[in-house]
Amino acid sequence: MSRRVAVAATLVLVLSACSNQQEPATPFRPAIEAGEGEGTSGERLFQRDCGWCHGSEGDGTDRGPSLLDGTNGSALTHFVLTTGRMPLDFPQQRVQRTEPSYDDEAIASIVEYVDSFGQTGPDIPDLNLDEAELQLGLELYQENCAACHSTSGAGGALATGDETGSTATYASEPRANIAPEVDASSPTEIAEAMITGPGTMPVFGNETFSNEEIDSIVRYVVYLQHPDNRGGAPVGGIGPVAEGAVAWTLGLGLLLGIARLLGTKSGPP
Amino acid sequence: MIKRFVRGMDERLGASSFARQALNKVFPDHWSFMIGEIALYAFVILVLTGVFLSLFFEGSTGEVVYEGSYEPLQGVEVSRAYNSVMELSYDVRAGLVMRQIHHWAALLFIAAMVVHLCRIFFTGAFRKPREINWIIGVTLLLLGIFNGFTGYSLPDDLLSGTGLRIAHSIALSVPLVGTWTAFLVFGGEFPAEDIIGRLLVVHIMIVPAAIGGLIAAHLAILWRQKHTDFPGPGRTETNVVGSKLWPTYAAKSVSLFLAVFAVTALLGGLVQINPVWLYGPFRPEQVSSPAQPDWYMGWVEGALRLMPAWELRAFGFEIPNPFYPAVLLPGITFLLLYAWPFLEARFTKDLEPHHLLDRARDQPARTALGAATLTFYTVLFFAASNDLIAKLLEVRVETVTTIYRILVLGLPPVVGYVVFRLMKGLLASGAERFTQMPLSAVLHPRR
Repeated sequence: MSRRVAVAATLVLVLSACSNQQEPATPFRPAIEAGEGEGTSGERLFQRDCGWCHGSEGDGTDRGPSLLDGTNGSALTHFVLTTGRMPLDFPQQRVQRTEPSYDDEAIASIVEYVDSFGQTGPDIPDLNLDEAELQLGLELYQENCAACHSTSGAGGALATGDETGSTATYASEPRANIAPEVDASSPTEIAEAMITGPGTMPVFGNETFSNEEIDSIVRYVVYLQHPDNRGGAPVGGIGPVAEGAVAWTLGLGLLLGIARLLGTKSGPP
Repeated sequence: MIKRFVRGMDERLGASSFARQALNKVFPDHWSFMIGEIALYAFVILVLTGVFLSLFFEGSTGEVVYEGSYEPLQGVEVSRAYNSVMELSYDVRAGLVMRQIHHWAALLFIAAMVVHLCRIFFTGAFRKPREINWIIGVTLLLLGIFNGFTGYSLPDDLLSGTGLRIAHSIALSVPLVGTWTAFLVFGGEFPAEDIIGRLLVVHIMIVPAAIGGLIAAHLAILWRQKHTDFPGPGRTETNVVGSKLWPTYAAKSVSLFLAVFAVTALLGGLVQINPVWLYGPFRPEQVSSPAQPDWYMGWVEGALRLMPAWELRAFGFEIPNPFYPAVLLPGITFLLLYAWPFLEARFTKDLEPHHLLDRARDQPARTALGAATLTFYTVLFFAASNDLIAKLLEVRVETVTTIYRILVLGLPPVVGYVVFRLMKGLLASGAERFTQMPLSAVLHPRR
């Protein structure tokens, strides 16, 4: 008994050591608690949580990019804050959707403060989904989005390509390149992602699409979050791989089990 | 009156003595003899559901405006093939469940054939005099895979169109005849108008007829040659011990048929398969990701993904890269499968007929070779989902591919060696089961 406990304890220690390896020994800056920013001004929050990397004037440091290079505007600021992609706990962290660190009011005040730096990127878009056409959305989604985000919206992995293009420390580590699933995005976030092109996503702004087209794509992505899906459990929306797994385990597994039962119930040899 | 009718028929056909003999035919009791039957019954279900589907499917790439009840496609121009599959899925009563049962039964049909083939291989049931049935069996597997692919391609959705484009490229990659073959089969530049109609004829007439005929031959030869059996008390090279067809084995076999029906119906009703409404209609300029074939083509897809980008020029011809993983590898695979009974007979110099089966341990070399080969194809199979694994584990696709390249060459010899030692140890120790085998028997097989 005591040996088992010892083995388990060692395992836990080893595993926790492994999982901790990813993060630096000392935190980059004080951790941010959810809801901490309530009732505080955007300036205070930015200087406390964002300026570490993006600079106190938003002009960037060697830990994070400048916000004044033309891509950033209130759309991107709003997008990274509402999807919890920012702020990061340390610069090398993977940029991905998490719980947002601030409430809507705090986000609005940060967006307003960052806007005062004089950035030139796109603003938060106005959507008109009531008149958006689902059929047009399907067509445009299939043509422009499905190759990475999948026809079902389940997302997918992308070839990494040239990951040594940047010498900045915050981007130097080769990372997995993933087009995320679209199931959690709000309509505004979908449109913001399209017109700003976060991460490796290309920009699909007004040079590519009219506002009506953007609306229709957003409407179709929102539709994909709750599609008129039939035929039973949709096993992940990833197609034949999941189906094959079900066929072998549930289907053939069950049938071999039944054959085995039929074979051994036949009496003594 | 029925009695008189039966007697009258018998006087003219003489069927009763045959029937008596047939009903008394003895089937061995071991459960693994029923795996092939799972495939047989899956085929029966494929035919039944396939007939239903053929009443509604339209094998044409002609354009038509979709007017069914799936909202995002209403008013969109789609092919007649896709339109009819959408109607089957959303507007024909029981259409979707029939489609899904058909698709699940196809996956199970080929899976059962593969497991059946493994059983035959590892027990040496292919040895003389059963080489002909082995050849028929391998042909059935080949036809099953081929017909699975044609069926997957029929709905003309974005995923199946992607699959057809890969098939087209593979055809193009064959030296000398590739371009001609591709044009001949597809009827023009990809995506050609003829291909769906042609696939339909192949899928619902030619190949099913061939499969049906070969199954009949497979069973007739089995009947004529009688079953093999595992060695055991009272079992010799000249007898079969087990249950008579009537009533015991008939009850077992009918139960298995009902079970296959139940499982395919359960899957067809409860688990979604091939949601073509989400994939959307095929457009040559579009592509989706992840895009995988059904599982039985996974090993070819995996080989395509793992193959380094080598191109060779020979005799003034460029041999395109897909030729090696998608033409040469499957070609060699099936050639070796066909030739195996004769190769083994030559290597072991064993030309005698055998009716008693080997246990896996009785032939450590064969078992090890089989295990190593299975490992090779299993790694290829998993490599077909390298992008999904990369996303799941949040690592780079390139990393996953590199690991698979190492595994596909490195793992089979390791597995083969380990299995060889285990089988040797099992044989030497005389233990009945793995769990009863002392470890020393594996480490020092000679003692």
